[in-house]
Amino acid sequence: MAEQSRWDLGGRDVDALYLEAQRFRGEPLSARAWSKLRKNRAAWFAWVFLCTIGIASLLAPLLPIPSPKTMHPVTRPAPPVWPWLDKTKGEFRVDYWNLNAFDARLVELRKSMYGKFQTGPWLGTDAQGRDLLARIVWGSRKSIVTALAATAISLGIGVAWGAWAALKGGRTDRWMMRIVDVLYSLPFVFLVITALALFDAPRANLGEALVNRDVVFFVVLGAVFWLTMARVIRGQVLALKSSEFVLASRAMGASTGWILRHHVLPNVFSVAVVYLTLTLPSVMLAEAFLSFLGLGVQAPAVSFGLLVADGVDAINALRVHWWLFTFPAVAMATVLLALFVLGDGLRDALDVRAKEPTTP
Amino acid sequence: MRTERQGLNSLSQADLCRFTTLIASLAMASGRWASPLWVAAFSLVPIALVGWAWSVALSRSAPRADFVFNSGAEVSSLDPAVANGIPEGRVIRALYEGLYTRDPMNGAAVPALAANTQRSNDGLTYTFKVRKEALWSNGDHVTAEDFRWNFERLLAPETASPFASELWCIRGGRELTTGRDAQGEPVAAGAVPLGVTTPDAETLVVELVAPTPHFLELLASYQTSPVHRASLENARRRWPDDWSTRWTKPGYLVCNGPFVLTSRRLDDRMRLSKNERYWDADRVALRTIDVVVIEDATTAFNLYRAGEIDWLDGTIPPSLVDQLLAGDDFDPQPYLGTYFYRVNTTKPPLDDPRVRRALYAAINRVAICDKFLKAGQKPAYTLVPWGRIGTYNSPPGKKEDLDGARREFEAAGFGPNGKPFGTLQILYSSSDQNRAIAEMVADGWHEYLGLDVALENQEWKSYIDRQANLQYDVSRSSWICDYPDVTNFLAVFTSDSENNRTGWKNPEYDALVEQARHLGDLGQRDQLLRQAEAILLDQLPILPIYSYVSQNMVDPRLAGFGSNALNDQNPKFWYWMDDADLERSRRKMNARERKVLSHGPKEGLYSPRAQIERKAGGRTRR
Repeated sequence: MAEQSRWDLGGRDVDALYLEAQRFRGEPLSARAWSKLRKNRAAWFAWVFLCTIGIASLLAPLLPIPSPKTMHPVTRPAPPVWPWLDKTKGEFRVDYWNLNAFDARLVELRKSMYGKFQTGPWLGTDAQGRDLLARIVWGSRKSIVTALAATAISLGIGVAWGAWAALKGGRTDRWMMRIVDVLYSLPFVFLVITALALFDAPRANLGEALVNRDVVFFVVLGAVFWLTMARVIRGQVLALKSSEFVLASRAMGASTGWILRHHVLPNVFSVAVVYLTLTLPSVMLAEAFLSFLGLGVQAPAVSFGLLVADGVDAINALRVHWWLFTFPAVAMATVLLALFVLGDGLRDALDVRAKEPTTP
Repeated sequence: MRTERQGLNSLSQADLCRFTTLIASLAMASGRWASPLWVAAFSLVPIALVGWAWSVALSRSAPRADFVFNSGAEVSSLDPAVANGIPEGRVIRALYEGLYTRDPMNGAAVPALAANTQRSNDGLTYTFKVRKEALWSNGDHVTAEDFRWNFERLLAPETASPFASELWCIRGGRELTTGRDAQGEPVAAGAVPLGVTTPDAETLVVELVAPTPHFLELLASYQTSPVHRASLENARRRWPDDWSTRWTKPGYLVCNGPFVLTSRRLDDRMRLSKNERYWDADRVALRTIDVVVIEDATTAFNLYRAGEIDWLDGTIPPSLVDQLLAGDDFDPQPYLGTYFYRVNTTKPPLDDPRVRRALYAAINRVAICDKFLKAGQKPAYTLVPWGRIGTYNSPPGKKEDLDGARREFEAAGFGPNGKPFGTLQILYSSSDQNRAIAEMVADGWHEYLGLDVALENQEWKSYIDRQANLQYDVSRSSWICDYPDVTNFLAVFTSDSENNRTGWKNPEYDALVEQARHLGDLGQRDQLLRQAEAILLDQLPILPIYSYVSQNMVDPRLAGFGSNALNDQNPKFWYWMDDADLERSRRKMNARERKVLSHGPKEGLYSPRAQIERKAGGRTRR
């Protein structure tokens, strides 16, 4: 039996094989994850739903809904009206609080598109006669922005902290993680109240800028939610740390920062993204909870939490204005559910070790 | 006096879990987490928790009291000299009795422990005979000396009573509290003896600095109720550090009112039982009263509907008011209180009265009252609620005037072509009702004056701190009077009043109020006070919004419960009517009112005296 060549090419031409190899492009991980996500029907649906909600709330000034602020003094909240029975006349007027330039432009555009037309109380009105649909749309805007900003902050702190602790190891690691434990044990509500009070500097006159409570609120929420992120990332980095390519870099004298940038961060990206989608709904819930207690978003701005607080007030033994509770609660629950489903789907999609679907 | 009090139950289950995590992580850090001792300790925690929860659940199932009412907030103190709030007043009325009290039917000051009162012709000396039969709950007699000592205690600086300045009408009172006389000159201690003397055990003589028409109203306020000297001094000796909480504990507290305190659990409930040693115990019908603490208006309302609570005093969810008005258990009546916004007059540009006038004129009070509150509250254009108390009539305040508001605003240099105004912040304490009103006010200012308005919500304590330290722009406030007299309202905004909290100082106003306080001639007095209020309404350190109504939800079967402008209720007079009496009282009422289901006892509950009278075939009392 002839000795088999070490490079058994199956009788093919080496050059042709080389050309083929050059032409071959491995499918990038992100593209594979994307196609996996598309195949997960629930996750894909959640993704599309969230995109729709996100665009709708971003373009809220452009929608033909009334202003969430316009009050119509009424003695009791008006119940929902079916769109086809809606006999209200368009009486839209520009009546908003401190619009930024982008929103002001959108409102102008809206006026030229629909004129005075606006939808009627399709989801009913609240005790001050404000349109509930408009309040839900604008409220989702506030909640989404808060959740995104706070999550971004928690991502920044959490990844840096967790990765640094794991890479340094030893005493540094122990102390950094003990700090996380201690912060974990602090009651969340007290922490928020203290932080808000700390940033609350009195003003000498009205011309001085108000402390932007929204920004304080983002920072405080972010500062609370980075803890779990730090733990998750640390665990991941500990595993990476002992991998061959990190050991090789270290042996060649790479600094901790260099390893962090070139090996660790790209590899924990998928974990971070998955955890991000799971943090978003938690932050949103926390925002709702704090606003519900009156600590979060301040009226006349509106958010899911404030809307639900109004709704809960409407539940009593005598008369229930069901729409005040039902619609905001459903809107909030759907968004949260979609975020969780998407997070779940992303985790499956980004897991390289998961079994490949049987496709060629 | 403060009305609403809000708080949060901040320690949630999640926080408890976090706390446990802290302990666990400390244990792990110490490296001995696996030792059997720790394991045993941690397994004991849940067992202890379950046991505790069980004991709480068991103690909660005590039989229902004859009467249950909601206090709305935990009382800060049961010491009448220190307490200063509506919830405190309700309980103190049941526990203590002073020389005078109020008739619940019309709010008039009527004698209680004063068997006989003589006023000298110049109105400067009052001589009271204290009831001989009056006893403390430990059997001691209530004597004139008890009252003398209590006046001294209330005025003493170390008591720090918020009511002390009201009693400066007594000779030597101001000197005792402040160490200075009316001109501000220091006086040596004891140089001006207090004008309260006791010629014999039953007689009390009080000398005043100047005729004070409302002196008996002061004595009818719960703050002047006496406390038991021996038990208090004993408590001070035994517990020098925390005697003030210890001596009001059930079992220790000695009081002289129709009820005694039998048990108390903070932030949950107080059980009051009938005081058998009370001099008029024969006329007290209820044997037990529970005072529960439920801060959430909707929860309290639901419990009322379920018959767990018999009387609810406080916020009724506005969205229900129009429907509740039809029932015969809800009958809002004018109440001597005003809801207003304080303006920080030290902060430019709010130091300009024209700006404040503009803000004042651009509040849509009618919409707030008629469309939102709906229980009969009236738009307020004066500080004095309803524009009148007794013979006093307020000067007519200016009404809403949008053009006038814009004119004033532009005159002050603001408006479309004027200087930038900045952002105005409305401070309010956590409550949905306060928030809704702030939103409506802010909406008006934004729309008519083009202001940027921000709302800021703070929990009760920091809200009060911010207000007291003038760290606000505009702040929600209210004033409920302690006794029905105009000076009680106008004195709030004198320069040195600690309740002023606006930074507004006006010497002319101060002089008018001070002069009126010590004037016997009622006509002239009203005249001076009208001038003072006119100054206040011209300068507007406050923006009145509406006059209060009382919001009692009370079981229709309850009798002896009056409606008066102070909403001062006295449990001594309460009793349950039986079906026949209920039917009779309902026949008298307005035919349009819907009869609501009563949860009270069908057979009624009458005082021993009334029972005898009923047996004799006579009609029931009152």
